[in-house]
Amino acid sequence: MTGKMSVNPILKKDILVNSRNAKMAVTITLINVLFALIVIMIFLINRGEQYQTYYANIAGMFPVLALSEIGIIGLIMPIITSTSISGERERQTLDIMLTTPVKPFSIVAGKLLSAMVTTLMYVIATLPFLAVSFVVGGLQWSALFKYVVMIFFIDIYIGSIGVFFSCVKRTSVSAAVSTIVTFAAVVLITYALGNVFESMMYNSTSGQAGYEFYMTGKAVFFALNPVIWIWETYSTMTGDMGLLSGMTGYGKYSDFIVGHLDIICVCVNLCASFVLIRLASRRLRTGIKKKRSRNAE
Amino acid sequence: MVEIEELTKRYGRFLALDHVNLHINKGDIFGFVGPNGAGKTTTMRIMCGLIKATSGNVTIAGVDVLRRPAEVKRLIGYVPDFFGVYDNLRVMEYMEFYGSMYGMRRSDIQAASERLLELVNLQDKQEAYVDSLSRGMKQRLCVARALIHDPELLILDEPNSGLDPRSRVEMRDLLKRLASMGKTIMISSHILPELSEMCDSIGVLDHGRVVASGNVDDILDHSDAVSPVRIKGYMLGMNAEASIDRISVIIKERFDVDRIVIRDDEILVYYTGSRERDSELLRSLVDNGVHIHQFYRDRGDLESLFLEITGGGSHDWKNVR
Repeated sequence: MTGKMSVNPILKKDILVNSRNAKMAVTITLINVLFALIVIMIFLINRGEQYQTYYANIAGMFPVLALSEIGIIGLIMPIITSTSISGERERQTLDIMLTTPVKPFSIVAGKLLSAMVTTLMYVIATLPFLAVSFVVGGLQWSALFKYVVMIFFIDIYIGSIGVFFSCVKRTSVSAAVSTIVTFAAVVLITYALGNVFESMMYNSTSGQAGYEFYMTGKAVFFALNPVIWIWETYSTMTGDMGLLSGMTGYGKYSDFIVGHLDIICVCVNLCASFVLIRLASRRLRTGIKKKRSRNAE
Repeated sequence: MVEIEELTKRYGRFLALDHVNLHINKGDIFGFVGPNGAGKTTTMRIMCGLIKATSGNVTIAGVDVLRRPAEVKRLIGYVPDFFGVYDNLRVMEYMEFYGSMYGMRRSDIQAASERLLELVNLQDKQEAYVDSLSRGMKQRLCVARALIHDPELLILDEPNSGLDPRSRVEMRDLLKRLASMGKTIMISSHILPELSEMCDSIGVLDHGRVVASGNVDDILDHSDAVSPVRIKGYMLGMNAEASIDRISVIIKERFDVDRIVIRDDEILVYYTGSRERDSELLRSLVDNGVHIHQFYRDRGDLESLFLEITGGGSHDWKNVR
């Protein structure tokens, strides 16, 4: 092997194979058509508005499109990643891959990266629509930067869950279902537990100490939720009251968490993603228990 | 080249491999034979590092498979019994992908791929999509893929399954060419006549145990028990039928035989014996006035040997060198 850095071979192969697949072209077309319809609809709705209102609403199109795109990727990513390893297994190419010196971690990482590249292509294809809001003006470039970070985060988070289940489950369908259910469960359970803590706070008779405890608990669960910080960013852009409004002033811990929710959320959930990827590669190394009749040959 | 010592694999209570011992010399074509469920694929998968053994040792070119699997992967090329290919990937890209999996430089991959595709007679298919190839071509491509990094040992699991006769002949010729180039080849197959033609040594596995192993010729020479002595003869003053009956009686009285089968004018005598016993039988028949005009023993073939061994024959087949 040479000393220079080389592209992950699985990433390279998957990009080549996927780009020749009609599915990608069809998906990009459909997403673009959807976005085009949204943009046209917004323009038509605001046709008769006054100058300031018109351009404010056009600028406000960006968070709508950005959130829509994140939602679409949130649906596509589980499907792509949950078939990544199980698809190789079903195609009977996984065993050959595992007999090469490439480490299981590289295989898993390659699959995750190729899924991220695929979704990035969808994002790039829809940039012209997002750019309309910037052309009109009134938006900071930091909004675009935050959007890109959110895309990467969602990609890695959901992708790691998808790749993990792809290694663990026997079939692509069960892996996809498990990925979507797990992601939905994390979002809903952490949101629900946060609200449970809030209601316990209102019922608490422990005074300020109790308020701080329960509000900190709510903040912790909200920080673990991978979606809430995205929603908060969207709310900031649109000027709406977010989910975190009214959570400050109860104590230094909850204030700290709420004030740094995006960073805490990203760090914690990326750590969880890394753990899932390591578990997935370990599973690849040890192998899934196959049915005895096939393995006994 | 390959040493397998006391290899055991257990799945819960099920014993897939039971203290398997095998030896493969460098440059040999080793045939791995056994009924379905015997443990051949399990053995091969352990050698490739795909599954872990419960106990035992496997060394390939002096490298311990169980302790240094990453090192062993550079020494072996594996062609599984069931394999798939990628849609939308050309033959050359397929070779490049696997070459890069071994960390080879692009120029080296290109040169090796061209050479190997010519060896497997796919040089005209470099730009063809892999999934457009026939089953036989895919099999040959898989062999080329397994050789991309120039391994010392090639492991093929049922490479001829699903191939038409012409493709099987092409595969056999290819393997012989590879062996002549110094590759050590381990091949499992159910098509026993082809194995006996090209293998230098074989191992027979049944219910996870090695029931016979060694040089093919030695094993077949040792297989006297499964092939009958064929006798044609007559007694003076008797007709053909009476002669055969009388000869059969003489044989039964003088020798402990498993069975005697009369087929037209031929007497087939089955017994566990050596060449010395064959001589004694011949002498005894002659001494009793039998005029012999045919007396020979069939040389065993791998198929009858396989049936005898896996059917629980009493002969000791182990470790025939």
